[in-house]
Amino acid sequence: MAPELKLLSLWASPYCMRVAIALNMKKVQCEVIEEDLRNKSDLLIKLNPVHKKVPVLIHNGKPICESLIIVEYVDEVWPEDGTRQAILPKDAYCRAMERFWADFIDKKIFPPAYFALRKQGDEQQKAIADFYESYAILEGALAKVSEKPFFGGKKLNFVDVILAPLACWLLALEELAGINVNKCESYPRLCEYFKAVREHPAVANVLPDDKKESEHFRKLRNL
Amino acid sequence: MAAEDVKLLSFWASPFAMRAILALEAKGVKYELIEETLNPKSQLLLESNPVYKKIPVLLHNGKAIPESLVIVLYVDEAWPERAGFFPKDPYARAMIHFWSDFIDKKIFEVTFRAAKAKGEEKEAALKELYDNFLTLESGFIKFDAKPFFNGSSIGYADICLAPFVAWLPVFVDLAGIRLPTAEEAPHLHKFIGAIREHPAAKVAFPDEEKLAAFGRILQQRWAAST
Repeated sequence: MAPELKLLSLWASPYCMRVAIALNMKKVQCEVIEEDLRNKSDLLIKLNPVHKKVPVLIHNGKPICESLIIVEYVDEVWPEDGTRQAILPKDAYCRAMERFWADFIDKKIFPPAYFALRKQGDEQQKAIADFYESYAILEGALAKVSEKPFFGGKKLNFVDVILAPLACWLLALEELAGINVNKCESYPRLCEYFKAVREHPAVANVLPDDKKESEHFRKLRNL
Repeated sequence: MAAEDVKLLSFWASPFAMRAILALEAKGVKYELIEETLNPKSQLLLESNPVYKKIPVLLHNGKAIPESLVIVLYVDEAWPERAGFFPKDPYARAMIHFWSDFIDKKIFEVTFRAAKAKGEEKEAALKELYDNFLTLESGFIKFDAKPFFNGSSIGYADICLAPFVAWLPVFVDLAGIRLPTAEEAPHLHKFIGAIREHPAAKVAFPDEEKLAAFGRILQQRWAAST
């Protein structure tokens, strides 16, 4: 019997995209319920009363919140077999390193990127500086991975699932915050990374159009 | 099997270092505790954690693992044969991760914010913290904590929260934090009592007087910087 799987989501949210990518990697079908965050549904408030945020994965009626937690849960419930790959590796040290970088991306890449897109003046300048600093560290980390183009080498790993959605913010970051990380001389590995990750079968149909995402942030800035 | 080389770069007052010590003690792992002075930071620390340059860092047979919660997870997975930190069911495991994330963001972070803030901002943070403790109580209830999230032995969420208990007298004294009463949050109070008696905590927690003095210095520093 197919599991009952629903995802409370927002099309523009990279956190929701992470879950969609993980479910694609596991070849698991899921019903996506689009939320309007200015008018949160009773279901969202009931299932995530603490944070009232998306994504929320609902598996056989039970809610799981927070994108990193959801991705690890999906990895455990649908482990590697002939038809699907593992997201996290088996080795404890390799798992620790993937969790470390996933946490770095979640704390030091996405929040400054978000504030660079949403804020003005000094606050925006600080966010932009923080983003560039973290992006350089990330380039250094990816440069240490000998197999290209992903953090998982030829395959996606946990770090990739957490990072990949940044791809749809790159245009917005350039247009609204003047952040240009498409300079391949400065960030050769990450340049190659984002070109390749957009094409990956588990990611391609998850990412919204870059222009749509940029327009979404433009509207939020003008509110 | 060859003797394992386990070292922990630590700082005696750090609640994050305490998490790593609690995890190692709970697993009965033999380790060398290397106390960092942090000013200046040792070459070993800078090499082992080049991204953040912070303690704790676990060094296991030469491999460095930074970030307290990454360390606790690693300790659970590297020594799987003893004292597991998680339930077996994947959904219950996800809930333990949820509560640990809650503890980090809604208990620790809000407490530090309340400690550093003044006036209205401080009052708002203290009220938020009080409400968050009531929410945490509901987490204890969902897990039927006896008295720990992990049952009678400490697990991941318990290790995440436990250092708060070491710092509690300092937070109350200097930051004015208010906990719900034992009637409002019985599980929370039972947890606090049980952690204080736990053998791992007796190793991990510093002397109360020493921590109180350190807390006063920290408070002066915060007051001076605003």
